[in-house]
Amino acid sequence: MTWVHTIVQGILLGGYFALFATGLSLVFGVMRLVNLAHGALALVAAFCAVALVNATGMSAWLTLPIVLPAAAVVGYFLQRWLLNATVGAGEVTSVLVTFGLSIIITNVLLQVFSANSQGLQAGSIGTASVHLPGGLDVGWFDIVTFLVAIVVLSGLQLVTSRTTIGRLMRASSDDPRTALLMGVNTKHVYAVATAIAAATVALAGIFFGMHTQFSPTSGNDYLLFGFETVVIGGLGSIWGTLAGGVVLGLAQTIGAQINPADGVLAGHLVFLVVLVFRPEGLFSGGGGAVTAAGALRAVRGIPRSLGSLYRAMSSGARGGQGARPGRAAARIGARTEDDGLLVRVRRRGRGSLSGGIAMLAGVVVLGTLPYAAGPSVIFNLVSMFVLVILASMWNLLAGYGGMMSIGLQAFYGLGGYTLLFLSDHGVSVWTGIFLAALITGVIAVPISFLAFRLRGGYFAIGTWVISQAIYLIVSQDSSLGGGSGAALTALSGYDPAQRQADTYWVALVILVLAIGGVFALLRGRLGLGLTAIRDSETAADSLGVRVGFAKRVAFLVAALGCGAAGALTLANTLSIAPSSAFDVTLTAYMIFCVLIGGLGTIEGPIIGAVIFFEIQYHYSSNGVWYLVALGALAIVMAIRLPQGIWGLITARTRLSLFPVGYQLTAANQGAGRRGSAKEPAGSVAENRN
Amino acid sequence: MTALLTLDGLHKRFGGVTVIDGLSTELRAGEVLGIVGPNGAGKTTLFNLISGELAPDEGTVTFAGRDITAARASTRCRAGIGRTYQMPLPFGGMTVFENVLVGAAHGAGYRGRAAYAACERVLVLTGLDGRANTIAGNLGLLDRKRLEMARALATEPRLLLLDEVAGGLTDPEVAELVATVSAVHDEGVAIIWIEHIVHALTSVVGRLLCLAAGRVLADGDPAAVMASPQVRQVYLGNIDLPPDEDGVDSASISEDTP
Amino acid sequence: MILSVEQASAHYGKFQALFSIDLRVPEGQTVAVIGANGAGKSTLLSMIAGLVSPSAGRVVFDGADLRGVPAYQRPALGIAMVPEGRKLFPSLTVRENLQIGGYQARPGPWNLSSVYELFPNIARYKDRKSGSLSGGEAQAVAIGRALMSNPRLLLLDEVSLGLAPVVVKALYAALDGIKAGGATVLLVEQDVSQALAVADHIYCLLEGRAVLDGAAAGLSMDQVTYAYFGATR
Repeated sequence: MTWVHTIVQGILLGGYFALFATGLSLVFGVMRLVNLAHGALALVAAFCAVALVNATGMSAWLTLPIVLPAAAVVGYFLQRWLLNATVGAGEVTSVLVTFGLSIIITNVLLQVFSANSQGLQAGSIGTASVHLPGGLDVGWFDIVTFLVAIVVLSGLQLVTSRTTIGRLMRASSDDPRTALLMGVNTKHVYAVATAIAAATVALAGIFFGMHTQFSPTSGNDYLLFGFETVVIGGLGSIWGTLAGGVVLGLAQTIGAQINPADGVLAGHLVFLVVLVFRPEGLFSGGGGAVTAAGALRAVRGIPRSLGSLYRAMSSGARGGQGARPGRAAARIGARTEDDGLLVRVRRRGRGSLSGGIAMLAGVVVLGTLPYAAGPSVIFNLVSMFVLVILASMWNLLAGYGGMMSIGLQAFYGLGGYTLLFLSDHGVSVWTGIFLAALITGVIAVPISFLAFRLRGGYFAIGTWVISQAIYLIVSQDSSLGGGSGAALTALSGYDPAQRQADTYWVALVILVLAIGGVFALLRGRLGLGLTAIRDSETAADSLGVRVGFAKRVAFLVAALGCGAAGALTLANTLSIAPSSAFDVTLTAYMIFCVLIGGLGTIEGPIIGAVIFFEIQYHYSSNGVWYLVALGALAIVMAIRLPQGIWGLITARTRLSLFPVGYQLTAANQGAGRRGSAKEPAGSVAENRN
Repeated sequence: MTALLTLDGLHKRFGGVTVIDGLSTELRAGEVLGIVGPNGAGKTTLFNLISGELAPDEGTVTFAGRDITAARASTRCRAGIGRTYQMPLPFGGMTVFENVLVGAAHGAGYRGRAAYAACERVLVLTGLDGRANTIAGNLGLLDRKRLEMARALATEPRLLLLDEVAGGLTDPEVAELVATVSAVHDEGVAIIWIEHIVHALTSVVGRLLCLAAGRVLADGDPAAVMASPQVRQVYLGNIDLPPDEDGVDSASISEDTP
Repeated sequence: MILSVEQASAHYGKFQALFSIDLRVPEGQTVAVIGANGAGKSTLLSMIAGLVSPSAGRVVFDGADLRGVPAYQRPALGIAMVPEGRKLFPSLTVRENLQIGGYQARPGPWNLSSVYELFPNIARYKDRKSGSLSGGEAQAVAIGRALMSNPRLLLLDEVSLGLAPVVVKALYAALDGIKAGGATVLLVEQDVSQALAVADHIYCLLEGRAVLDGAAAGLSMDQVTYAYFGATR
């Protein structure tokens, strides 16, 4: 009988999830915008309801007619004044901006309401239940929610298919340019869509708040639930959304029935299974009110947007070269093949030799620091190295591979926990760090097959879900310390200063390896292919670049680097806990670093990380306002200054400390003598493979 | 002689519109085939079916004895099919040389200095050697077209698909282009060239195919094809333009690029 | 003069598509713009419709400079466009496509029933998704969609694109009905003979410049060919 109860509960839970998902898929359907602040908006509505209830003592139900219209208005102007700027700029910018927004919202809520859990009282309905035959009790409130979900979905279906504004939304979704020609103000239409989405998600937030306790960090869960529902159900079918919610709800309740802590995890696992076997969703297809075909293509289609973001950044940095004919106009005569190379290909950039020497000197100096500086400096430097590595990895994936991920913390956490595991089984910590990184890289292989089912903004969130699944699995393993974490005991016998110094040196080595590795990768053939993919995946494909392979390599290298970073952190701090090891705020930090320093160059993330570390060190004691400011900064940088600080520097000086490009220079001209040619012409053909 | 490329019964539909309607033809190694036809006849779609951007709803594509109907574009490129795009897609953040290097390194499989040599050769051939270090995103339209060709050539194709490369060129530039294409042909590369500027085509191609409404309308000697009444009807409507001296109709109603 | 393009230039980034174009469309007349590949014909129409801003010069409609008027406000003024490639909204039915055209409708004779009368063959597809129509049917819907706003100036971009000659003839036959409804027509056409047959006045563009400008009746084929391909050929 409990199983029947579980199933009924699961179905009804689907009503909540469907409500969360509705706005997300509407906004994506109309304007291809993945709104990562969606969950946070639901939370804001719930907290506003709490504030109203606390201030006036009104019933939670009465807050609905106040909060819902307010949410619609907020949603309208949010779209109009901020998000519309990101719609044309591509999925990357919208992911960055909405992610920054969600950080701001979460932290403002933390500041105002503290981290305590809150709840909304549904009154007598909240506790009343229906007594069904067979001894089955079903809560009235859950039934009401499910019915409300059906009403909302039907209403949305009606609006999109029968009303003028619905028609305008569908037309703007199909072809915004032509819609303009028909007199449709697409900016306004988008804002209306977001207003509707905001109202529905506010409804979801308040209802869910009457069902379960929530806190300022619940927004992430809401977003993931909504996202999972959309993917499971399939895009473009409104009833598919309800079905998707039901599937997710069932997964969670059945999972919880098997093991009370496993509800959410079961949901994640079902999501991943659907992703493997039916990535377009269980119920996708036509007949949906908001257009499916284009949206589906966008989810699985080719992300050009990162390339255009990079172009915006790089045109400032390198644009000047076209105007310097001196070096470029080495006009070559008609004689070619027989003489071997007429030109020299220079792999060095400006300042890279002196820069390289300076950096080597810097590494040496850094290496001597444990003798000169105190333990807290050393400790902080390790943290900074970790940040540099993380930022570089995120940049490799996003800036060169074109893949924005919000889930790299999964590998960071895995690295740390793998080290813990190895150390608990007798492996030396120093060896363990390297091993942990490698093992993380290996684990990333099957994960990549999952993650690559999605693209663009959906890839971003999908990797987040995967990270959450891993987090939940790890936090239940008591041998690893479970939810409260564990300590690295193997090093407790060491002299602390020695241990710190040793950790520091290993960190330095790994830093050099990581940056060096990324540099080597990008300088080589694969790096050339990755850069091409970043600029135009279609063109790269047509020129013979193995696109899937290149992206997978980038993903694996990033995983390896993040794993090393996680292991290093454990060695440095001596303790690890799932909630911090798998915290999505890590990705936020990576993104901040890269945005500050500049996407798509090797130097950018390094500089960004150093600067960010300084900011973090000095200002993080200001609590949540500091994160709010960072979120705002991220938004501004993403829209206004995408090339970052390094981009500004290279625009002025054309410095290149890590040159990955190929510059042609004229070789010594002279009849029959080619200073640079080393091979006879015959070997040119033989070199081909 | 076995054919290098065989297209058999290709069909392609977009929604309710049939763009390629039962198309079959063959190309021998080293042959140069020109394709003409009015706007919307399906020429670029045909190229997409050959180079792998699109899969046909029915029919097969066979290249060098292998059925490549299901192969993706990068596989076909490495097998020896290269193409240019009507709307150039340069790697905007990389230099001209780097753009071409992608083709040489990944498409043709060259490594190291051999790759550089291959790039150099191609840059000279297409006249881009003076702009090797220019960022591709800063190139004008003409140079972008040259770059398209250079990149495709760098992959050392056995079959080169040229999609309207002569559009917007002045006469001397067209002549230069024709010389380049001839040079490529002399190396044994088979070429299929979609073009509206027919006099450019006729100096290089040995065979002309006219496509209309997704079907082959005429296929054979260039002069004969251009002089055929059906072909002229499809291009010019009811106008009778006098043919010029060598019997080939010099009119070329061109597409407008959006 | 309902439309007057005065010394207008247009750029796409660094690339200049139009060079100081002068073009006049007298009310009630049919003006055709012809030209070879890359000549800038579609850019010109996009500029008049508001999708592209002139980098120099101006576009004057009914005496008012259109600078600063965004594209979506132009149908209310009386400018409607049938874009190249038809560009119907695939997830909307035929009727809904027409209804969108009428979103900013001005008063006038065109509405759903009069459009169905003009193009009887599309009336039976009223509730069919527009993505499944054939080329000729889609073109008829696209024209009808533009008419729904009761424009004073109708812009037709390459109506004959990809269509069989007999279909094109039928579409152009509807032009008389359109003109009778009060619209002035500015069309871009790649089919030279068709353009000459329907237009009162011809402009020929070559690589962004106007190289020919005259009453259709007075032009010889030689003149047109000469202008079409340029003196260099």
